[in-house]
Amino acid sequence: MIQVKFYGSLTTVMNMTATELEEVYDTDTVVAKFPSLAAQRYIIAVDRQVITGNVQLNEGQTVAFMPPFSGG
Amino acid sequence: MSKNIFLQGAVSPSLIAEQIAKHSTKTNIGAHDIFLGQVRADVIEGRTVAAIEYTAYEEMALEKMHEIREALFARYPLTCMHVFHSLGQVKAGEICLFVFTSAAHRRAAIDACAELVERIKAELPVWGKEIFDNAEHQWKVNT
Repeated sequence: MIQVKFYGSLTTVMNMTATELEEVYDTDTVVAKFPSLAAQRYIIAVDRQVITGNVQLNEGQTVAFMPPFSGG
Repeated sequence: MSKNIFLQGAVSPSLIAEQIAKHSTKTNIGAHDIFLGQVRADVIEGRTVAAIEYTAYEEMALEKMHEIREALFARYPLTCMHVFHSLGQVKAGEICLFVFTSAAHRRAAIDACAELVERIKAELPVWGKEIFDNAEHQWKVNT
């Protein structure tokens, strides 16, 4: 099971803050499960580390989709 | 163990005063630089911002904050650095970010504080949702 989290404006676009996925083995597969993301700007973190490109996933990891930050 | 920087709601002026008072025993300090971020009542397409609601990927933000802290302590001779960032709703006119740096001399405190504010706004996974006086909302964009 992979944990998936959405933040900021993505929570509005996806209409959820978090979900879980089974049988996903890399980040490209996770992205493909959410077609609404295609029109959005975001970066991906796997277990709180920002990644680029396609990254292999292990059981229990957390994939977070984060739009541009707007803190402060 | 990462220091927590988040608090629910606005940063109160009394917290700021308490923090200053707490440092009076650290008599090796000669300068503090303080930054306060306040929620501004922006007018966007005829609607006025009444509040900003902050959310964060907290665990990641604390790890990133730790990295930023280490980097600044490595480059500036600081005695300490404190960051307080609001989560939840902060009304226009209230403080949502309180950063302060302390050093023996002012140059380090001033320069580190300026850099710290920029890094917080650019690198912490925190998001603001602007809530208008007519209850509509839009997601904040940092500049």
